[in-house]
Amino acid sequence: MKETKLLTRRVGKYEPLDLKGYEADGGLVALKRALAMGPESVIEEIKRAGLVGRGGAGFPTGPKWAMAAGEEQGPKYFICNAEEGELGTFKDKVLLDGDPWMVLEGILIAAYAIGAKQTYIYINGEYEQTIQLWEKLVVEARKAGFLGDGILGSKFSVNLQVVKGKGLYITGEEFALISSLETRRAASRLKPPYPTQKGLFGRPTVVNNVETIANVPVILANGVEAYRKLGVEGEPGTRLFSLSGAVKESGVYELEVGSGTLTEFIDEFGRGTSSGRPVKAVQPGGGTSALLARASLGCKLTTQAIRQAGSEIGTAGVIVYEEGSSAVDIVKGLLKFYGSESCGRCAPCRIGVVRMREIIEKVFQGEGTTEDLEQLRQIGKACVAASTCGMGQAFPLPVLSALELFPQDFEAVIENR
Amino acid sequence: MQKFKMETYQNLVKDVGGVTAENLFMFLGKVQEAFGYVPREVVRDVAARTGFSETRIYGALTSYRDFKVRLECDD
Ligand SMILES: Cc1cc2nc3c(=O)[nH]c(=O)nc-3n(C[C@H](O)[C@H](O)[C@H](O)COP(=O)(O)O)c2cc1C
Repeated sequence: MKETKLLTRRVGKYEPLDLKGYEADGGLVALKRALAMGPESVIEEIKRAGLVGRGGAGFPTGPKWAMAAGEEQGPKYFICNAEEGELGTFKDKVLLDGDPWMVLEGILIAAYAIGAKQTYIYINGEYEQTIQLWEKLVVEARKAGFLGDGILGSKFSVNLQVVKGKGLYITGEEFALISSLETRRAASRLKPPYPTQKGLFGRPTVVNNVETIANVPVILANGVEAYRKLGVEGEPGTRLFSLSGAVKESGVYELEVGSGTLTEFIDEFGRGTSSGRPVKAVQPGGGTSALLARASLGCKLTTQAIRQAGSEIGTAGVIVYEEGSSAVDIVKGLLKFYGSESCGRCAPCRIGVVRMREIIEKVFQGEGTTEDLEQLRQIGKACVAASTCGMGQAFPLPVLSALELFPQDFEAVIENR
Repeated sequence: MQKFKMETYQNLVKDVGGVTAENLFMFLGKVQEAFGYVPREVVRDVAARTGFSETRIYGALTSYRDFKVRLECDD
């Protein structure tokens, strides 16, 4: 198994603010092509490339752009989602720091395609240096004529605002992010209407993840055919996997979709578990993805294969747990985090996440009963079924899978009381 | 971090080229960074500039961990 550096090809190869260095290494070809092709053809190419979103929900990018482009009423907005708040996920930072011009080029092409003049990049507030870099980048880009009026002598005008996130996990969710930019409390909303219909200030808005946007210049520069040669049917290209937890070597690795299995990935890139004990369980798609037990780790790193194994590829944040750790601890750790992150917009998530955290803490203290476990299960299921957004629909999944896969861990702390 | 001065604040407004609904959230972040909190005078001023109510702006400010609406000191 080896890395395929498509999006990360230039990372570390040029000084991040050096536009010349970027241009000398194939940069800006895509933007020039896009401006010559016209917005409709750009959207057509992204559709043909089969690009799907890397932000967690896996929504196809071309159709999303087409929806916003097709709306009558402007102004339209484009938002690059760099909140990257999901547990075990730190891949967007590699692109933001290592090849910022490519991400900017992607943002410009997206704005051009949908007809947006105002764009935003909303960056996780903990990425202080990244934010400083991007503020400088905007100044450089304006000087070089890539932001402002008449980009590269065309009629296309665009601005980019760098926004520092304010420390809430939920602002990664697209409507919560939009609420935030409207100077409101960050809260999700019922869909439809979708952001492409009624987004920022009620206007058509496209929200895309950083990695999704980084694919755009690659597709337009290399061509759709070349892009589709990589990956598997229905899921072309590469993915950036963040690897963390109980491994010897954590990091971000770019892999061709379907190029290996979870086990191979953990063994070869993570160099096995920290202690050398076998893997106990893995969350393949960030902190809200269901746990996979050791027996299921032979699945390929594709959306389909991971789903068949019983989880989701999500943000491709692979979190490894080793033998010797208890599922009770794992669940407690996750609920400790998510337990204070609900936006409060809908009751199942607002109440459910707190109740579930209370129950697991009680169980952990050795004061739990089998009825408590049943409650944990029931509240979790209700949350998944009835929550407004992906937060409430997903955070119970690792809990439910832990109860299913490792009942003995829970029984052990209950029997010991 | 510096002590709040109307003059420093006015310079921040100039730096972002004026405060509008479209950049208010980002701008409040700049104010927070400059003074360590978002003073009452600022809320009043940006409310007038954007047409947003002070209530709406306070509602937002008090809901984010990284915004403060009064100066906090170590005791
Ligand atoms: C609770 C929650 C947190 C999210 N956090 C992020 C995030 O940090 N970054 C991100 O790109 N998408 C995040 N998303 C997904 C966004 O709502 C949205 O689907 C995504 O930004 C769309 O981009 P894409 O189509 O390029 O994948 C989150 C979703 C939920 C429900």
